[in-house]
Order: sequence, then structure tokens, then C-alpha cells
Amino acid sequence: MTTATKHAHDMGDHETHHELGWWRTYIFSIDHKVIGIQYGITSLVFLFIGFCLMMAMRWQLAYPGESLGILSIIFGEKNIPGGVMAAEFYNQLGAMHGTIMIFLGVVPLGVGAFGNFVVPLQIGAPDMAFPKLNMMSYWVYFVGGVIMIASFFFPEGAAQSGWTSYPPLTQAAPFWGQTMWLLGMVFLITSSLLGSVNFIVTIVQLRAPGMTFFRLPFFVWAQFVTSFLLLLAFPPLEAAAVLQLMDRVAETSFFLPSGLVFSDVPQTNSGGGNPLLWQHLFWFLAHPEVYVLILPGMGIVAEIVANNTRKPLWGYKSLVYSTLFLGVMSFVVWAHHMFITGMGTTMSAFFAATTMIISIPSVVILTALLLSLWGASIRFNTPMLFALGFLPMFAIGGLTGLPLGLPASDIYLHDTYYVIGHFHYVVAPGSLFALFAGVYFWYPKASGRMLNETLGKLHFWLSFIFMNGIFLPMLFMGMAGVSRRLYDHTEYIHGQGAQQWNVLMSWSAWLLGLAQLIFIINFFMSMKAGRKIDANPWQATTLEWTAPSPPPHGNFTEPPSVYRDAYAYDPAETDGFKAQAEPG
Amino acid sequence: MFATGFDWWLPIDASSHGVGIDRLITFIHWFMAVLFVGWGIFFVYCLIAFRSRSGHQASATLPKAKASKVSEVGVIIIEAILLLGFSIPLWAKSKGASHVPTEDDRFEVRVVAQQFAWNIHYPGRDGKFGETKFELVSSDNPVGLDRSSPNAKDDIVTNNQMHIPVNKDILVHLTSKDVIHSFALPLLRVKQDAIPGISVPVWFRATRTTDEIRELMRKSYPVHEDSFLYLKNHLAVDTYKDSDGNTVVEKNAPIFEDTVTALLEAGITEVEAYPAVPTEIACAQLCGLTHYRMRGYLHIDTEEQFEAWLAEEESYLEEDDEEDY
Repeated sequence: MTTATKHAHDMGDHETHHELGWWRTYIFSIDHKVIGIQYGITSLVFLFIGFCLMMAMRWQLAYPGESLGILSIIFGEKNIPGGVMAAEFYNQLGAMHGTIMIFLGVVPLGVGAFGNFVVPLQIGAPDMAFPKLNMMSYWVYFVGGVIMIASFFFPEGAAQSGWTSYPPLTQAAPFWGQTMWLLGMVFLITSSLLGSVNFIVTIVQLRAPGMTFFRLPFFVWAQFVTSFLLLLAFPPLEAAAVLQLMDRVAETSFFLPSGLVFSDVPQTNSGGGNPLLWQHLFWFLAHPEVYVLILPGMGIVAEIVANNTRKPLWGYKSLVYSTLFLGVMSFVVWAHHMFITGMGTTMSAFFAATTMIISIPSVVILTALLLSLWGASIRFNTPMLFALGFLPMFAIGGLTGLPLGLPASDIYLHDTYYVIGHFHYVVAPGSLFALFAGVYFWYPKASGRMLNETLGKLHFWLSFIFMNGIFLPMLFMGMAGVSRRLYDHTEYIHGQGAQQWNVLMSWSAWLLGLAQLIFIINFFMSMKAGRKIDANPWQATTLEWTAPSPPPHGNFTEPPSVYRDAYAYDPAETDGFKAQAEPG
Repeated sequence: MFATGFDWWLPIDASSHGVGIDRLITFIHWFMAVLFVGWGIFFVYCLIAFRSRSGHQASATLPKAKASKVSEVGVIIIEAILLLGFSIPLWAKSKGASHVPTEDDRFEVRVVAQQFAWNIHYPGRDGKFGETKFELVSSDNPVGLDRSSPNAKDDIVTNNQMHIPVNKDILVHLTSKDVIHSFALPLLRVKQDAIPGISVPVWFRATRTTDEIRELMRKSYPVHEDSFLYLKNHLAVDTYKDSDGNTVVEKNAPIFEDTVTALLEAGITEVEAYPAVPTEIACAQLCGLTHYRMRGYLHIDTEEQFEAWLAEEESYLEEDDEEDY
């Protein structure tokens, strides 16, 4: 054991440890908090990059074929000749927007950043169980991200076959972009696997004395289930990515059938493969992935709702059981993404039934969070606004899944903008609002200073309005029959009929982009100018708030013990709560 | 009062099974609306009634909330009804193997998708498809039809133009030559992925002709600089003339970008138009560079129109034969 890891585990010893150099403290750190912050900043940067790609696409969608000179300056004359986006570049932006937002943005922010920073603190551990593995997880993720971004700089650009990368389309696509995408995915998946093992062991092994499973904050439960999803669902996609890589570089035909003809040229590949096999392996990950995107967010919302209603969560156990049930069920719904591939009645009925069943725990979770508001004394601070905003937005996201989960209505809505609207409601004003809530909630813990409340509230309201300005029209466009992933909607009659929505959506997107500047300014300004706070600015119960802000290396000044449930809020107590670590 | 371009609900339906799908979609949305409004009222009430203020304290007891059980059970029951009562029977009718239209009363056609076109292969009057071989595929022979095979003589192959008779069961054998495409007929509520290496049967029955639908979709459009975005692939319903009596656009003539400019110059502020072929075949699955333009035209013909089209195509076959000799 190196000196550093030894110190990480020797609680109470940390005041005496020798100073680590700058590199070991801030860059190659094995402290879960630093790694969490690294994950947080990196993923926020990637989220912004992914959002910028979309803002560029939205110019083409709102004003197809019109020139905007500045785009050529930003993205290069080759991609945007004369200010008009090339169709192949549009497809690259589409594929990479999805990839970046999901694999480099939301998941690393929800799991890598908040999981790493908060979980050990909330369970009363000095660090993660495997600090070096933790550092490796971040750096493997970082390399995966660099590979993904670097792919834009190859002569034929980045991957352009959608974030789903269905073969044989990938096989027909330019070589380097897609190959880099697959390599990048192998890194990102490896990173997630390293992280998930670490979380599971940490939560099982490193809980403070008295921290039983049913005293865990709901956020920890959410991370626990998320880790199992990552651990069990990602390996099939990692295998599939390697197989697709083999199809590209070693002329195998895992996903390529016999008799392919590309551009009137009969292909000589050995054949015998099946493109649907990829879809099964992909969605076997990608459906649980939806819960990886949403569960950490739900966990954050639950923490903030309990804290700002000043009362215990309603139905803590039903939340936990629902989350466990969601986790298990999420492995048997994947083929509802494939109803239109030629599925018979029995199989479609099976996957539709599991899909309807999985909607129930989501309803239970939402109901529990809503009921938690009853009889409360609600403080409307910025984290709470984002957490409250999450509730109706997630409800829209969940409800719009219903007509897509029923095979008969899916026939019409499949692959339309309705699908895009549905999952963006889940992930953008859903997960992302929850994650923003988390940033506003735990920033004081990480920095010792508050974020500015006025700017925070402005950020919330503008984001709330503009996000709906983007995503609600998507549902309408889908109802009108407009397909997704089209470079120019006006090529189709039904696309022309819904084209004006694109103008509204694009302006909403650009204004949403501007609104994020408020957040960025607040984030950096508050590092220096934010109001200084003590250990527990929110008067919260869970263990992280008994550690100093920011917590030192090793986290707690003395090892905490746990005496009660996670949310002992009670107006009869002093300050209306009793901390988990407070004896008596 | 909405301006052009804000379509927000299901378009005209021209199929026999579409009624059921539309009804299901509409019903689900009512159900969603009821749930959302119900939750919403509770939510907003809580935010107002239980806001933090002086003299107000959180209550330490948790509500019993029988209503939540009722609503959860209600959701389960309605979802079960939607699935068992509506979705599964509808799916079985549209996609279940036992509902494929019977041989004596159906019109069969093969659709072979490729980047970025729809190849339509008709069996001809003998009702039998000629043999196809993938080695024979070329730009002149997109489906690789072996004209020397016995059933191939009268086969017709068209590109992006699909003709079908109205009020008859249509059975499409759908496949792809290269990547995965998706054969979507929004106005007929049909969607099916076209997958290389697999032929999937798709069946439907059109209940309106393309001409009837075109008439239903005639609409008045304001003329301004961006109008072409909405008038692409449209025909003018009437002849439009400028103040000197010169024709700007003739009745049933296609509207081009220049037409819009000419209309603007002539001071015409409104133009009545309808889509040239409203029944489009759309590709609903990303298939590459010009996926967005992989548009085909479905012509739903009356029996006479269909017969006339068939006779015309056959005459081309005869010309080809003569050239061959």
C-alpha cells in the first residue's frame, strides 16, 4: 500500500500526512472528492460541447440551406461550406451530440461526479474502497472522451451513423470516424465498469457504524442500483463494440448478412451475420442505460426534496423497493426499441407487457416525491426549484413513453420526433435539472461557498422556459409524422407542415445556451465571491453535512457513527432536524 | 388561429387499420392528460399551501394517502386494458403472421430499399415474381432481376414510384440491399424496418386514392420570401396571373423557387396549393448521407388509373424487348 492510499484509510491520521505535490493533489489524485470534481468539471464541459453541436444543427433545421458565415469559421469551411452545413456533417453532429451527451455528459456527471463526491461522504467512509481504481476510472473516461472528440479531426470526420451505430450503416460509413467511436466506447465502458465495481464494494463495505442499509440516504440507494446496471449491462455492449470493430478491421461478418450491395457493388464479405444481433446487444445496454441516466437524478431530487420540505420523505421504503424493481425490470424491456424490426405478436406482447410493468415503479417514485410535499414547509431555494422542476418534466417524459411502449401506437410514432421529445424530457429537463439541483446543493460542500441564489433562480426559470420551448414542439412534430435524424424536414410534405416549430425550437435552444452562461459565470464567480458557509448550510441531516466544507483528505474530523434514519426532519427539534450522526 | 407550419396532431388517415391506431393514440393522450393534470393540481396546491412562511411549520406526520394507492392501481388497470384490449389485437391485425391477407384477394409487390431509393418490383400480370440474384445487381438492374427466369418476363421494376390499387389488400415483401431503412407511410400508419438479409411481410389496405387526399390537403399559403419551404413539391390549384394578365403559374403546375419569386413580384400575397403526391414513402431510419431525401411516392389509384398505369409500363417492357432483338 502506498503512503497515499494508506493515508486515505487511516482516519484521523490525515492531519499528519505529508503534503502531496500539485500533480498528485489536483490531477492524478486518488481522493474521491477531487476525482468527483474532476468528473464534474469534465462532464460539464462535455455537456456544453454536446449542446454546442446541437445549437449548430438547429440553424440548419430552422433555416435549411441558409448561410450563416460564423458556422464556417467555427467548424471549418469543409464541414460548413459557405456557411451552409453539409449533410454528412449534420449526421456527424447528430451522432456525436447523442454520444457526448449520454456517455460523456450525463452519466459521468450523475455517477462519476455526484457518486464519487457524495457517496463516501453520505455513508461515512474516508474514501472509495479502491482509490487507485477510482483514479483509473476517471482517466480511462478522459481518454475515451479525447478519442471521441479527436475523431472530428480525421479527414472524413467523426462517426455519422447515430449514437446507436447500427450496422450495416456503420460498415458503409467512412472508416476512421466510426472506428474511433468504437475505440472510444471501449474506453468509456471500461471506465464505467471500474467505477461500478468500486461503488458496489464501497457501499457494501465502508458504511459507518450504525449505517444500516435502510438508513442509507435514498441517493446512495440510487447509486447502488445504478452501479449494478452499469456492471451487468455494459459488458454485452463492450463485446458488441469489439465485434463491430472486428467487422471493420478484420473483415469478419458478425453483423453483416450475405448478399449486401453497397452503391450497386456486390460486397465480398463472408456474410452470415445478422444486423439485428447488434441491436439486441446495443439495447440490452441502452435500456438499462436510461435508468443509469435517471436514477442518480432521482436520488438527488429525493435528497433535496426531503431537505427543503423540512420533513421525512414519504414512503422511503417504497422508493427503495421501486428502485430495486426498476433495476431488475430494466433488463427485460430492451426490445421495445425494436418493435418495428419485424417482431411477431408474441414477442411484442411480451416486451410491451414488461414495459407497462416497469412504468409502475416510476409512478410510485413520482407519487412518493409528490406526496412528500404534503404538509411540508417548502423552502424555494435554487436546488429546490430545480428539484421541483424535475417532477413535472419527468412526468411528461414518463407519460410520453406510454404510446411508444404500446406496439400498436408505436407503429406510427416509432422513429419520429415524438421519440426524441420523449427521451429528452426524461434526460434534459429530467436528469439534467436534477443534476443542476445537485450542483447547487453540494457546491457549498465542495467549495465552502454558496452559489449566488439570484443568478441560480434566473438560471432555473430561463432553463425551464426554454427547455420546454425545445422539447414540447418535438412531441407535436412527431404527432404530425416527422421522422427523426433528417437534415432538412422540408423535403417531406408532412415535414413542411410542421416546419415552423423548428424556428421556435431553435430560438429556444440558442436562448437556452445563453441562459447557461449565467450558470457558468455563477460557478466561477462564487468560487471567490460566494458567501462562506459552515459545515451545514442547508440544515440537512445526512452525514456529508457533518464533515467540514470542504471536507479534508479523509473526510471527517472524527469517524462518524449513525444513530437514525436519513431524514429525521421534525419541527419539534432545534432547527427542525436531527442529524444522522447526532447521538441520542 | 395558427400560421402554416405548426401541424401538431395526426395527419389524414388513408388506411383501413389506421382508425384503430389513431383511436388508441388519442385515447392514450387523454389518459396522459388526466394523469398529468391530476398530479399538476396536487403539485401546485402543495407548492402554494405548504410554502415556507412565518407561523407555518412542517407537519411531522406523513399523510396516509389512500389516493396514491388508488391512482397506482388505476394506472395498472388502464395500462392493462390498453395493452390487452387495444394494442395486442391491433398489432396482431397489422403485423401478426396469421393475419397476412389471403392469396386470392391481395396485390403483391416487393420493395427493395437501397441508399437512397425505393425499388418497387411488381410481379406483372402472371402474379409471380421472377428470380432475383444479387450478383446481377447493377445501376440498370437495381433489384438484380434475372429476365431469363420464367416468371420475370412481365415483371415491372420502378424507382421511387409505387402504384397500388385502392380498397385492396396490399402485401409488400420488404427488404434492403445495403443498410437498414424504414418503410414509412405516415398517411397510412404503416412503418416497417427494411433489413438486409431478411424479407419482412407488410400489409395494409388504402381507403382513399391519392387524388382524393390531394384534394383534402388543398390549402391557402401566404406568399413571402421563405414560402418555398412550404410549397416545395406542391402544385398550384389555379392559374395565377399578374396585373397585366401574364400567367405566373398555371393550374396544376408545380411550384418552384422561381415561381415564388414571380408570385412575389406580381404582388400575389396568397396562393392556393396542394401537394403533388401527398402519399409519400418516407425513410424513417437513418440510412446515411441523403437519408433526408430518401423519398418515394405512393400512388393510390382507382382501378382504372391502375390499369392504365400497368398498361403503360407493359408497353415499355415491349419496347425493351424489341430493342433486345
